[in-house]
Formats: sequence, structure tokens, C-alpha cells
Amino acid sequence: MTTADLTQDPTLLAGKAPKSDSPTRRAIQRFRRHRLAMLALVIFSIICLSAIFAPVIERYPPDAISLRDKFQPPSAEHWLGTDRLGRDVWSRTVNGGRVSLAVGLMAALISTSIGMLFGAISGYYGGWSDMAVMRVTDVFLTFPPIIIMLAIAAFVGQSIVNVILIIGLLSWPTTARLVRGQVLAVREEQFVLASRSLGAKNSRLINQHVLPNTIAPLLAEVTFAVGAAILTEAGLSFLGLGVPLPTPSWGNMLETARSLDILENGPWMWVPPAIMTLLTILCINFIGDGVRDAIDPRHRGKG
Amino acid sequence: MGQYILRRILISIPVLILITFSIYVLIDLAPGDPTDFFINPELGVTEENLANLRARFGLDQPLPVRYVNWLGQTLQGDLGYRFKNGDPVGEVLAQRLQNTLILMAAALFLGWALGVSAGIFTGLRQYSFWDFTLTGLSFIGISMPAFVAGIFGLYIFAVKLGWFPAGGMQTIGRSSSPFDLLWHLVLPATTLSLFYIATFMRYTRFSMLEVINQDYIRTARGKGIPERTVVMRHAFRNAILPVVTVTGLSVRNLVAGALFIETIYSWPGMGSLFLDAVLVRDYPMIMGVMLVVAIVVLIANLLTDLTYGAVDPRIRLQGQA
Repeated sequence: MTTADLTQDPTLLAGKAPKSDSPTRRAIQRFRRHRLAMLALVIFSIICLSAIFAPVIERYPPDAISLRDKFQPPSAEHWLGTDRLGRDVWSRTVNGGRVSLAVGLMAALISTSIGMLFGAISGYYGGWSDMAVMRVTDVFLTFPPIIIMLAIAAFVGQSIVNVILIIGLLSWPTTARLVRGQVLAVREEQFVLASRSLGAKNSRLINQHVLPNTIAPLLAEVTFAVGAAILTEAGLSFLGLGVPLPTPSWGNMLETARSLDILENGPWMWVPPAIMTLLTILCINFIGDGVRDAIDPRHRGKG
Repeated sequence: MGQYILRRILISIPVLILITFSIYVLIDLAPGDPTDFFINPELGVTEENLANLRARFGLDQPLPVRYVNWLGQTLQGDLGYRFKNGDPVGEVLAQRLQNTLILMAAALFLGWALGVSAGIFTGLRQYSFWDFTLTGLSFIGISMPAFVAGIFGLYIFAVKLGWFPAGGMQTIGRSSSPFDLLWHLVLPATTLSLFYIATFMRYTRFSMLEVINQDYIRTARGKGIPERTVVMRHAFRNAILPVVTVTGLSVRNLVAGALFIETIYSWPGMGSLFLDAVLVRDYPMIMGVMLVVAIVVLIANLLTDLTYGAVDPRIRLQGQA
């Protein structure tokens, strides 16, 4: 651009800074054009808001037992009816979402951090550390995670913290593999070599150059990891080894449907958490897909 | 091909050994002492009695020794006896494994048959009405947890409509027949397969789209080959590779899905057995199921590699110059 061009640039004349065209901005633009992903983001935000403001929108305390009102179908009094102990299903659903989403987010945070750490070490240093990390992931990836998690949940006992730790500490291998692959690719790039030749230490190379370049592909993975963690919590609770009662979670609300009587005669007790779980996972999958398309347009059209 | 198979098998062995060791250590770390299951607390057991018991079962040995002993027994097919009721683990497991494999095979078959056909169908009609409809449905399919699908299936088709039985593998009081089994299999297998129909459809569609615009497809069409042959022999043959990989990777999740479906439909399989074992801390059975699951997944991976080699000559000939 010559100086003449610059003076004629309307944004400059209007006193605005020229619109920068960074990869991030372009990715955000692409994401916003992805209509389904945007819709999913809106719905997911509503679900999150209802979880955050659960204490405000609940109409009864979620664990308030009222045996006189037990087993009531939906009414003006109880929008989604009441359960076996007369607890309000609407209150339990919004509060259950609070628990399910919190567990999912925290567990995904833990597993992604561990996955990034091990993936980076394994990919960057190679050698025996790579060997060790990869063999451990081999073992993990041979088992359906739920098998190990169920066993450990039974050993250590049930609590919300245990559920978060179990999911978080056992779900990292997929992330580690992904990060390792990315790191292996970035490690050989010219700019890393340049920085190294300037005398940068390994820790600086990893933090400043290698990891930032793996963040973009990782973003979609993190989205899916949150979905997987929410799903795992629901699964563990559904089997009676997740979030312990009386704390509501979508999974342990669904557990009531394992009794044929409630399945048949009280669908209002289990349909709301079932729909919410499905809707949340659906939104997260759409968002993750949008993020992946936005970061790497080659993926376009897969969904 | 023989060398390729051998190499694949040899790669699996160290992983399997590592897995057995991990299972052993996990159970070793679990709370409780195996001797608890052999003593009656009301009979006043002295420390000396306990020590004798430990020595008799080799429990006083260091971990590596105990592991090797256990592995030796396991390799001879002796998986021990259940803490719960003293039944031999191996025998119970074999029966349950068979039932789980029936369920998994049926779900995988449905997933492949419906998913791959839908994938080819939509892949050839990108942006058409059917493409949008089926692709949209596939999103719901991949977002549907097995237990949600299972419960809705049970509620709608067994409880409300009464089309299919609500659980079990056969009608009680009637002699078992293949039709009866199939009848009981429909709901569990279909609800389990929804996720895989959706997954296989998405992968097939995506890889058909990748392949269908390649030059060699245009060449094949240009030569005047019938469209059917172009699609099946030229496009599909190449598009199927990623689907083979995904199928192999699916088996791991299929085991987890089967666990939920078995619980919902009281299908007497390995998953419901495992849940039962976990709840009463039946360690020999927990170890047995874990070992069998690992072997099933490893065999599935091996079969995937072999299929891959059979479908794609480039893979099988790699490194054989």
C-alpha cells in the first residue's frame, strides 16, 4: 500500500483504525456465519443462564420433601410435577443442570490441562517420556472410560468432588494424543528453529511458540470434552455411582426411570432431564462443529 | 499379508501385558483385603490366623510376585471365584460375554447397514432435501446418549405401544427359539445402534463427498462405466477406508453403550454383570470383566487393521520393499 492509498482509505479518513484481519477475527466471522452453531450457542447460553440463576428461578428448594404432594403430574403449582418424595421437578431440573454443567466444565478443565501437559511433553521431548505417555494412553484407550470410572467410583465412594476428579483425571488421553500430534507438527516449523537458534529455553519455546499454535485446533476438542464430561457424569449418576442424592443432577434424575413404575406412570420425572441432557449435548456438538469449521475451513460440509 | 498380520499381533502383546498389570494394580489399590471374604467376623479371628491365611493364598508376597502368579493362573484360564457367591468367574463371564456380543454385533450390523447406505445416499445428493433431513437427524443421533435412547425406546415401544418386550432375552416359560431371541433383541439393538447409524452415516457421507469429485471418478464416468459401478467399485471402495477406522474405534464405546442398554433392558450381558460386581466389590469378577473387555477391544483393533490391510493394498505392503 502506498501513502496515497492510505490517505484515501475511508476508514482512516473517518478517524478509525483499519480493521485488522487477524486469523482470530476471521475465525470468529466464520463462526458467526455458521447459523446452526450460532443458534446452538444461544440455546446453550440460555441453559447456562438457567443453571447460574437456578436459585432465582426455582420455585421450591430442590430437595424440599413434601410427602403430601408426592407423585403429582405437572400443574400450575408444580410446573413439571413432583417426584416420589414430593420434590418439585422444575426446581430439580434447573438445579440439576447447575450441578451437571459445573461437573462437566470442571472435569473438562482438569482433563484438558492434564492432556495438554502430557501431550506437550510427549510431543516436544520425544524419547522415553513420549514412549511412557503413549503407552499409558494405549492402556486407557483400550478401556471404555466408564468401566474404569465405575470401578473407581465404587472404591472411593460417592461425592460431587469425587465425580469431578474421576472424570477429570481419567479423560485426558484423547486430548494428550491430539496435542502431541499438533506439537510434533509445530516443533519442526521454521519459527521454532529460529527462536531456538536465538537461545530460547525449552520452557519458553513450549509456552511462547508451540502451545499457542496448538490452541486453535484444541478449542474444538475442548468444546467436545465438555460435552463428553457432561455425558459421563450423567452416565455415572444414571447407574447410581455419580452425584449422590439428594443433590439433583440430570443423571440421577434420569435414574428414577430405571424403575418400571416411574418410567410408565411418571414420565414428567424423567423426561425433563432426558431432554435437557440431549439438548445440551446437541448444542455442544453444533458449537464444536462450528468452532472446528471456523478454525479449519477444510472441515466444512462434514456436518 | 501373513507378515502384516503377524506384525499387528506382536504389537498388541505388550499392550495387553501392560493392561493386565494396570488392572492388577488398580484392584490391589482398592480398599478392603481379600481375606475379608473368607473370614466370619463373629468367630473372633486372631492376627495369627489372618497371617496364616495370607501366607496360604500368597498374599504376603510382594506385588510383582503376586502379579506374576495371578497372570500365570489367568493364562491357564483360571479367573478365580466370585466373592459374591463363589461361582467360577470364567464360566459366568463366558455366558454373559456371549449375550453382550450378540447385542453388540446386532447394533454394529444395524449401524453399518443403515449408516453406510444413508451415507452413500446423501453423499451423492449433497444439499438436497434428503441430505439436509438425514444429516440433521444424524446430529441428533450422535448427541443421543445410549441411556436416553434406551429409556425413550423402552417407554415408547415397549411400555406405551407394547410392540416389543420390555426386557430380558426370552419369554419366560417358553422354550427359547431364535425368533423369540430376535424379538427381544430388536429394541436393545436398535436403541444401541442409533449413535452408530449416525456416526457411520456422517463419515461415509463426508468421505464420499471427498472422493466423488476426484479425477479418476470423472475418468470412470467418461469411459462410460455404468453409474452404479462407478459409485460402488470406484467411489465407495475408496470412501470406505475412514469408515473402517471409525468402526474399529467404535467397539470401545460400544462396550460402554451396551452396559447402559443391558441395564435398561435387563439384558443378561457382561455390562450388567460388571455393574453388579462393582456395587458389591466383587474383585475377581471386576478383574475378569476388565480383562475380557480389554481383549475384546484389542481383537477389534486387530480386526480393523486386518480389514484395513485387506481393503487398502498400500497399507499391507508398507515397509515390505
